[in-house]
Amino acid sequence: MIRYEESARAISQIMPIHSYSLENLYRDQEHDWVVDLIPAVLAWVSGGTGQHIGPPFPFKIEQTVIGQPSQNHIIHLDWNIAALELEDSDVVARFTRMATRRTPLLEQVPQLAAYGLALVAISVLMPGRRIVDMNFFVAPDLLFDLTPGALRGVEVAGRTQGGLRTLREVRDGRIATAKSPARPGKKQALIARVDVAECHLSLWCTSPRVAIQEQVK
Amino acid sequence: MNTPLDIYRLNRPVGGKLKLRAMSLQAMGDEESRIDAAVLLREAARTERRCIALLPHASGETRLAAAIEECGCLLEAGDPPGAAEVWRRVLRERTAVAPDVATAMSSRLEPRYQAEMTRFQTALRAAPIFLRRRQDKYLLPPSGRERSQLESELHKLTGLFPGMSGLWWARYRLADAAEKTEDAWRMLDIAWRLEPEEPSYEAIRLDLALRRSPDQAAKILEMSYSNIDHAPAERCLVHALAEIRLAHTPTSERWLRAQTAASEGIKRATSEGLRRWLMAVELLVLCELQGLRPTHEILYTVGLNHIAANAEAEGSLNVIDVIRAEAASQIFWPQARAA
Repeated sequence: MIRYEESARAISQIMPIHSYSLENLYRDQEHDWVVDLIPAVLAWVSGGTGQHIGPPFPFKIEQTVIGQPSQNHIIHLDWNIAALELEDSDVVARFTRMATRRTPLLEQVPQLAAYGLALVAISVLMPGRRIVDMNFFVAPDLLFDLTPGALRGVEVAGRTQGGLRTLREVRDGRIATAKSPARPGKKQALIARVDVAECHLSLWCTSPRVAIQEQVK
Repeated sequence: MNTPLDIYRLNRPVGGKLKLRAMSLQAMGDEESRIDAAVLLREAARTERRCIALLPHASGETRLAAAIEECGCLLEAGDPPGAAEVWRRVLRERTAVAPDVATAMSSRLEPRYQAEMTRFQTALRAAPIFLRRRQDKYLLPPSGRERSQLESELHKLTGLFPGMSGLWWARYRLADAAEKTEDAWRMLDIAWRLEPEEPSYEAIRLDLALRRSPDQAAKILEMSYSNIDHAPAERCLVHALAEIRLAHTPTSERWLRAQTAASEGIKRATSEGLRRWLMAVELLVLCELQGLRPTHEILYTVGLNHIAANAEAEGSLNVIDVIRAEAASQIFWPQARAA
């Protein structure tokens, strides 16, 4: 029988495994971009049931960088509530309100949570890069550089279900069928933007816990 | 030296942070959080507009992106009429961008905009009293059953569209007419927070504070006086009148502050009528400071002959009361209110 440590070692040879504690976001990114995202990440990742499901939560991430072969990673997302409370004393109350679904605006929670998870991916897979601004109604969502005409950033999406198939549909678009209209993909839309110099996609799903982190430009 | 681009880089993230905080508040779901979120989103929209104004030669994509963000902020705030105004700019900026790029850039906003406008039209159709009365400049409160129906309609509308300052102003009017001072204060405060640049809100707020609590009014006056040299003329007029009202003795420093406020207002008066009232207040203060009894002559001097004649005909002997009542009524009605 293969022991857990041996199994983990074997997996790590196939794909890198990263452990990341959510409170480290306060170190890796500016406080103001983090503090409003953490409660949503906690609520969304833990399933929004309000029940205590302990971390770590593993996410399998398919990473693609232009000019390099795709690489799979696993991020074990962890957190320490006491450490998070040092940065935001209301974090538990806010998380609880979102997680126990007393909020009618549930669509906000996956969106905010996906931004938070994208910050995690940036911090782990693109170390040293920091967000300086955010868009909410036009891509890219998270900006490393807001120079007009030469934007650099990350476009984010979050889906509660559907796994990689759904995330690929978000990336590549959908052909029209008898039941649903065609939907353009985010990737082509970003490539067509002459005012975007560099852009990555950061697409997240919580059931199953998978993500796509792809440089498109 | 900071270039416009440096200032843009410094200021635009301020709007981004406001939007993020607003979304987080919206996710809380309760009424106060949604109102706070609307206040932040409207400020974010103003920030977006100020930032793009720094870059007059920006590319079509940059201008379109700014218009989309501004429109989105107003939609998300619950202000469809405000969003509709910016939507026109979105359509105009789209023409400067390749059609496929323009479609892709506005793909997130457009369905949301259409859905929100439909929701707004539906909500308005369900508010017949408000629809009938919204063109009334003063929104004179109706009586009896119609009033309670209007209150109910406005309550629903502000719940659906918390970012529309005019709706809160209308609720303020009803509460004030019913002498529900605390409710009136809350409604007016929300309208003012949503649209702090509307001079009438600030002016009415000061007036209401005077009626509500002289102590509170004194505090608001302190804050107001600290930047009176940049205040719009409407606020200067109400400020001067409030100082006069709180000046209990002829030697009070409030007379001097009233004079300063009036002379500052005269510099920035946007209409002849407003300028004349400010001049009347300034003359009134000068009379007091010199120990002279102010008379209706003041009104004739500044060209407010009809007011003076009416006041004399009605037997209103105290010119201070006349000025306070008539001048205030000139400015207390915000332009282009609700919907």
